[in-house]
Order: sequence, then C-alpha cells, then structure tokens
Amino acid sequence: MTWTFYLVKNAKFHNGDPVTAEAVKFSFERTLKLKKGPAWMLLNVLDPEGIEVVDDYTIRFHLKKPYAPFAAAVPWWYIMNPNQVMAHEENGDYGQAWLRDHEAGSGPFKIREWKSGEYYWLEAVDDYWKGWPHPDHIGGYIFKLIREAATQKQALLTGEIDIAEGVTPEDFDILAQTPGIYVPEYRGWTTFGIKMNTKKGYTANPMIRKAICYAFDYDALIDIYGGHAILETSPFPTGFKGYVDLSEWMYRQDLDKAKQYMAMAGYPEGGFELEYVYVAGLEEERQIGLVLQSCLAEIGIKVKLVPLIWPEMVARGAKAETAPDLVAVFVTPVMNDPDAVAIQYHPMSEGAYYYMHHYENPRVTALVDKARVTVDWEERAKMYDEIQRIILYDAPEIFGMLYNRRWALREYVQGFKFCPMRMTSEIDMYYLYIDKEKLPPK
Amino acid sequence: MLNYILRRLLLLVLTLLGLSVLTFFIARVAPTDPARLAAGPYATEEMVEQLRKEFGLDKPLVTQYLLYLRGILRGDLGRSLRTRHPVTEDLGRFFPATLELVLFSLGFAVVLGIFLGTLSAVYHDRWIDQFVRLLSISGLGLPPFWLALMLQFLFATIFRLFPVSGRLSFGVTPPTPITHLYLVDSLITGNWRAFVDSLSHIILPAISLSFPALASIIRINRADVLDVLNKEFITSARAKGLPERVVIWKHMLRNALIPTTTMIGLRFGWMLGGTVLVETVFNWPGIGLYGVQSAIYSDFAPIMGVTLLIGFSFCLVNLLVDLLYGVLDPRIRYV
Repeated sequence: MTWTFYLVKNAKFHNGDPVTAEAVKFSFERTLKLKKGPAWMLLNVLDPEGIEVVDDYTIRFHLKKPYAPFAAAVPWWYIMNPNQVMAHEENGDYGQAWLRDHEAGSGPFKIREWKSGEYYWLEAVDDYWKGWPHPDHIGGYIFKLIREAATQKQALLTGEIDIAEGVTPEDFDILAQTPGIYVPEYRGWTTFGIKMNTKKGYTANPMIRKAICYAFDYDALIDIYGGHAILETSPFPTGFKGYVDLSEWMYRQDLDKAKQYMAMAGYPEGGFELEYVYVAGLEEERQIGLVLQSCLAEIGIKVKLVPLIWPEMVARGAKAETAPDLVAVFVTPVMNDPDAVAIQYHPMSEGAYYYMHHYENPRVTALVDKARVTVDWEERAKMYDEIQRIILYDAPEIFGMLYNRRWALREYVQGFKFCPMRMTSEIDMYYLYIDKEKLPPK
Repeated sequence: MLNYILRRLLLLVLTLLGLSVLTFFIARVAPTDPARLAAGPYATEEMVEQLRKEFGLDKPLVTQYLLYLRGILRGDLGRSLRTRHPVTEDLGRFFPATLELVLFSLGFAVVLGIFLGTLSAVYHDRWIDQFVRLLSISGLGLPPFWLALMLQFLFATIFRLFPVSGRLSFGVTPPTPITHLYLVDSLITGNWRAFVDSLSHIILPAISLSFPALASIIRINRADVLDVLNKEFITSARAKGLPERVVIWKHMLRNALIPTTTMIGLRFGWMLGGTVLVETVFNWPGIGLYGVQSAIYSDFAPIMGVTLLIGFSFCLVNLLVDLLYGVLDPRIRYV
C-alpha cells in the first residue's frame, strides 16, 4: 500500500536544478491529471493526494489499494523539471505544447536538434551525474526516420547510418554476412498468436477452437522466420516473470485429434468458412495466413484472408460483434510483471488490440484480480501458474511463437546491450561506445 | 481577362469545397477509432474519451465538418493526432520539400522532354528517334517505385555517386530560409556547400519522379513537332533563308508547344501524387511521406490538409496553364 523511494542526492536536470522529491511529485501529478501516456497504469490505484514529499530526497506513495506491479510501472513515469515545464505552460496545458519539441529531463542525453517526422538529434550530457560506462561513449546520436526497409539496408551498407532496426528477416541474414557489419540476435518477449473470437460465430465453440489449434502447423512459423524464432511453451512469454513451462500441454499439429474435436463440435466434415484478418503489408502475417488456410482445409474449414490497415483492424476487434474469427497479433508485455500479460485475458482489456479474442473465464478474471493485489510473490506465482493452465486449456488463440530481436550495427559501434522489455526495437544508447580501431579510414 | 480569372478562382473554391466533402466523408467511412490509436494500446476508456473530446471526434459528423470549414476560414486546418502539431505547421514544414522536388523534376522533364521530342521529330525514323522511343516507352512502362529502388541500389549503394536518402547531409547547415527551397536559397545566399549537397540528394528522387512525365512529354512533343513540320509557314521560313536552327527552335517549337503545355500542367498534378511513393523510398521529408503516415494512422486532419493542398496546387497550375496559352498563341483571348 505504501512505497517509499529514497532519491540519490547528486542527480541533476540538464539546466543544473537538482532532481528532488518535489519534482517527482510534480511529474506524477501531472501525468495523473492529464490522463495521457502511462496514466492508465496507476489511474485506479493512485490519487495525486496520495503522493507525499517526506523531505527533499524522500518520496512516499500511498496507494488506494495494494498493487503488486507498482514497482514495474514506475520506470515508465518520466521525471521532469517542474521549473522548466511550468515556465512554458500555455492555457493550463502543463507545458504539453512546449514539450513536443523540448525536454526537461535529467538523462544522459539532451536534445540538440528536433525535426518532428524527420530526425531527432540528441547529444551526450558530458558531466552526466551518473557518469558514463565507457570513456569512448558516443557524443550523441541521430535518430533518423527511414520507413522503407530496403532504404534502411542501403543506408547501412553505404555507411550513411550506423544502426538499422527495421530490416526484413532475409536482409538481416545478408547483413550478418557482410564485412564491417554485425547482427546481434536475442530472444524477445514479443509473442505472436492468432486470436479467435470466443464470443461470436463458430469459434465461440471451444471444441472448434481446439480443433483449429490441433490442425495448425507450428513448425511453419519457425520456417517463415528462417529459424529466428521459438515456439511458445505457455500463454506467457518464455522466461518472463511467473512463466511456467507447459511444453507437454501445448497444442501441436495432430490432424486426428483435430478431426475428433470437429466431430465433438458437431461438424465432423467441417463445411464452413472463417475469416483471417492480418495487417496489410506484413508479409510474414500473410504467409502465416496461407499456412492456416491449407491446414484448416484438412478439417473442412475454409479460410478467407483479409488484409486490413492497423486502425481498421483495431476498430473491428474492439467489439465481440465485429471482431474477426481469426486475427494475427503481436503483443509485447509493457512491464516486467506477469500482470502485464495476465490482463490480456481479463475483460478489463475490452477494446484493446490484444483482447480481440474477447476471452472471459470467471476463474481467470478472479485470479488476475486477486494476483495483482497480492504482495507475496510465492503466493502470486501460484495464481499465475493456474492462470496459464486455464488459458491454455480454453484455447482463446493459436499460441504461436516468439521471434528473435535483431539489429544490424557497424562494427565500430560497440557496447550494445539487449533488454527484452522494450516495446519495439529501442536500443539503450547510454552503453554504446566507439571502437576507434575499427573506424574506417577517413 | 480579369473577369475570366475571377470566374476561374470562384470555380476553384467550389472544386475544393467538393473535394473537402468527399475526402472528409470517405476518410471516415472506414470504421476506425483514431482517438483510441493515439491514446495508446493500454489507455483506459476514460483516457480515450478525453482525447476524443480534445480533438472534437465525439461530435456528429456533420458538425465536425462544419467546424472544420470554419477552421479553414480562420487558417486553421486542425491538429494532427500523431504529431500533435497544428496541421498548417506540419504542412508548412513538409510542403517546401515536396514543391522543390516536384519543380525540379518537372523542370528536368520539360527541358529534356522538349529537347528529345523535337530532336526525335526532326530526325524521325533515324536512330536517334528509335533510341528516344525506347526511352519514352520504358518511362511509361516502368513502375516509379521499382525504378526508384533500382536507381537507389545502383547509383547510391553500388557506385556511391549519390546519397541513399534524405534532403541534406547531417553536418551541412541548411541555407538561410528565403523561399524554403534549399537549391534556390543556397544559390541566393551563395552557400555552395549546401547547394552541392542538396543537388546530390535531389537527383535520384527527381529522376524517379520525372520519368513518366518525361516519357509523355517526349511523345506529345514529337507528335506536335511532326505536325507543324509540314505547315506552310515553316516552308516559308526556310524559303526566306533562315538558318535551320532558328526555324526549328523558334518558329516550329513555339507553335508545337500548346499541347505540351497542357501536358505539363497535368503532369504537375500527377507528380504531386507520385511523391507518395518516391518520398517513401528516398525518405524525402515532404507531404507525400507525411500523407502516407497520416493515412496509416487514420489521422484525419492531416489527410484532409494534404488532399486539399494537392488539390489546390493542381487547380492553380491548370489555371496558370490556361493563361499561358494566351502568351504562346496570340490568337487565344479570354473574355
């Protein structure tokens, strides 16, 4: 219920002001009042009045009710300098307009040049209060927006850029063989699954959902990713906090079983059509759709592939009445706490893209509610164990795979550190340094 | 004359009004929820609702449209949900880049197209004509997207003659903004480094963008010149003993230019649309790229802004082309 944080005393904002408990209180209050960004994480458990400044370097949070993931949520709440922000306030906007192109932080980098939609140029804070992990740390970086995957690759090959994140799987393979470039590869926590509408249509019948799960060819997923992926072994990402290995219970292709379940559902010959929705332009998702099409043909189910743009897909999936029968979705847990995955199977997620299955099991709902207010980890872990087993049994989706995270870097860029928690392909620039011996001759 | 221009301007307003109605309602036909997207995947219903209110998306469609029109009259095109900037501000930043690219490409296509077209007509059925025909047919046939990728791969990655993407290299300070067109501004201010750098950036995208236009200008111009070639006034000019150079480039060309001018006007509009593909490949920071991104996010205000701006430019250029007829052919008068 109560969390007390002791702040380091040497932390400074970029303009030299100290990072105090007052600044922390201001930053949390600001987000709670604006109801934007990460506000959803704590809106229901923290009121602005619940934040207490004990002294300059001690801050205490009094939660309205116990909330186990609190510590995992806090890193998302950016601390900003109230003096700078409020000096640029317009019409009570808490400095929102100003902050679009400025910053008021205390991190290792600050803005040098900011061209929204083009590039963001940041430079290192030389006397950064925490110090730098390497003497040859980068002096800054330019975050350049290049939307076209082929262009990213060309730019890396010519040395126009030093790091590329959005290259196609085939091109990553090629780049890994290219002299002067290396491709670090790590297991991520982003899961791919095909959500099934559990409320409406044929897929509302759990027998049919199981038949589909048994008909699908899981190895094809790994092939489509050229071997750079592993199959899910639980509804939770492999290795995630609270994850249990359910390998022996996972659905794997077994057409006999699939046919048995179809018979139990009352459709021994199949004879109906389902819709598979995926994001238009995502080639891998289209290929997975083709696999699904040929697999389900074996049990008499026709599959229609429907590419939609992302906004349209999310809008359709928001309600059970319009949600597609089958829909391809990647999900990355947003914080390092099992709650972030468990809520994806809780009706409180109604409307969110990861809830397109509209799955509702009273037992799971009750367990998720209980686990998030339980402080003792041992006790929580047991609940998450049960949650994973029930979800798997109910089969609200085809549990797919976790693909590997890859980047392509020029060899002289060293110090790369992986963190599976990141939403997309962010890199912690703080640890990067330049290996001068590997620099190309000028 | 003045009357004519006024009438055309009035028509332009009506056209844009129609365009705005179409775009506004077509964009909203797709069942999307932009506020939910902008609020983020985990936002609570309360947060989404607040954003919906902030951007006026909670009001009935017709009201939203009328509010939008009222905004336009005040020079306000709404705010982008994605960049959170006013659309006028975003367009002001991205449009000069597109305009520079289109003007440069058009200039390239016009000069080269008229030259090659005339040459092709004068030497018709000789090897020059055959070669130019090959060029123009491939120009019409090759998809610009593919051509852009190929040019990029060949001339930027393999031969390294030009940069892969962007409008200016890092470390090169953009010229002092006067017209906001880098090439022009750097010339005016004598900033040679910026001039050479932006020139090297614009060449590949400009070739990709201008190729279809170049092809059609060559074809039209060739046909027109061939047509004029046999007219009596040409024979009389030759009979007067004028040098062939003057006969071709002055007497003949001016008379052949009218259909070509129409084509140029139309091509300008096509090019504005073509920037969507070319800007994506070359990462050119213009309204094409901005429009695509907005469409992907169902970000209504910028979609409207980009469409209206392109529509407005298209109409304006066509008006200019019509007025140019009068200059090219003194027989044409507007009343």
